[in-house]
Amino acid sequence: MRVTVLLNVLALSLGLLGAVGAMPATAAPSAAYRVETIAEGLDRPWAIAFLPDGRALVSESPGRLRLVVGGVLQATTVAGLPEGMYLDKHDGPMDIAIDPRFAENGFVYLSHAYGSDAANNIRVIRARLVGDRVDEVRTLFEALPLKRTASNAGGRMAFLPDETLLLTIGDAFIQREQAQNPANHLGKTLRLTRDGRAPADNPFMGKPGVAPEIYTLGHRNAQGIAVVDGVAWIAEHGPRGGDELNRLKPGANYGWPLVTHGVDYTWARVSPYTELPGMEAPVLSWTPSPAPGGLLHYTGTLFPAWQGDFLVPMLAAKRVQRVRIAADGSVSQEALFAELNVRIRDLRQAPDGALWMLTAGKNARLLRIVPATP
Amino acid sequence: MPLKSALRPPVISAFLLATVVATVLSTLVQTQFNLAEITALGVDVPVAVRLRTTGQDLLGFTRTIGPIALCLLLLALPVATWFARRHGYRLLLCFLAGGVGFYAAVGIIDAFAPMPTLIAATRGAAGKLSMALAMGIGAAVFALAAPRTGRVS
Repeated sequence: MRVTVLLNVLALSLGLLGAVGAMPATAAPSAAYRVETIAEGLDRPWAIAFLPDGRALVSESPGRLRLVVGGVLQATTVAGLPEGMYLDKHDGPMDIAIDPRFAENGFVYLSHAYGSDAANNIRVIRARLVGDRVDEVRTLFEALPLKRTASNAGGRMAFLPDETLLLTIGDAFIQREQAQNPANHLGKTLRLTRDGRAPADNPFMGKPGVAPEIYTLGHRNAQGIAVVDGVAWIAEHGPRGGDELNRLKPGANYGWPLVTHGVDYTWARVSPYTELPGMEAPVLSWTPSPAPGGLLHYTGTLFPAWQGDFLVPMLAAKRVQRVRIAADGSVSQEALFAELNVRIRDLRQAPDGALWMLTAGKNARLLRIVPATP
Repeated sequence: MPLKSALRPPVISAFLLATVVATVLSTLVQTQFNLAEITALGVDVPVAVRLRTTGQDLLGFTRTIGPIALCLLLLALPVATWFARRHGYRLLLCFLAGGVGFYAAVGIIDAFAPMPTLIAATRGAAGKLSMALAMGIGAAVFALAAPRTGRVS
């Protein structure tokens, strides 16, 4: 394993602080770290997931799964996945969720785009991982309606403590108003059973004209999700500005496109409003857009200074934003890993508390981040 | 139109006026179509908010549509005036050149832009037609303001 040592001290990170106004100056002191390269040459990777047996899965957008065993990326891909997965124009999505009862059932869940350029959306499949292959592949859920653009897909998944599965679905870009249409899945966070159905206690279950899978609505393109003390948080892309960190409340409306701190890519106003009655405000809004590609809530022991913080991998900003939310709701931030100067797609916490990072695009890297001094 | 004629100050002034008119009108269209989508979702947009948003777009969206209008008219108007010098109907030809040119411009832009549709108002047929009309009016302003250089009218 090639090791690149990057000693980063507090002063460096402090100098890169703060994309958001009205934020306190900084978080608690940062930590020194070094970055190790686990693998290179990945093709548009999208997600990392750790298995209880110590292995890890890495997904690549063309529809491949790779196993990492003992810190080594396996040369062959996981066999048994369906052929001919539709490849989203914008690299992915292909998220991985591990069944809370994996030790018993071996189930892994994959989200991926399905359909064609003219008609596509997100599908969730479930498969049993046996050794280095998957069996019993089954389609659990397909988001509707089929859209004609391969953009703003969402596609992140996370299990809640009650073993229901959350899935983010994007607004399809040119159909942004559909994020407010409760009859379909566009621009929503969905909550599913482990069989892909709507749980009986979903917030809109039984309400006429509302898709029963909806957990929250009014989202643009959430590509980060994390569950903290039973509460889901998402990081979502805004347009030009207005990227958001949101704390999800079942049944709540997060306002897109009626409220936003961003403007369109053309600098046209998307909405005159940044807040409206009945719309949940973001915990944090970033302008200009750093483009969050994922969301991690760090609980490990290797970096005590970061415990309890959100670590948000950023694509456009090419850094990880550390976000600390104090008990009084105040937010402080710190930019990390900017010296890598790479678009960051995903960031996960390994069982030992190290951070695993995926860079974005073709010829991407899988990196491991550990304290500079053991 | 010969290059020497095209570079005369009155022609340049007419072209700039046409560009400004096309830019402002298409911005007004963009704003009103966008606000129509907001009101269609049940949110009230009072007149003051509408005016403020329109002003914001005149300061913001014009950064995008202005260069588009300029390039579009720079290509479309010489073609229209060339035909008009031979066949007449300058006003009509300029108007059509602006409108048709906008459809072509949107098609080219959307084919190469990373997003499916760059200009929100052009997501629907009515919005696209309205913006094409705005560009057509801007082009027609050129026909009215620029001195005639040909013998056919």
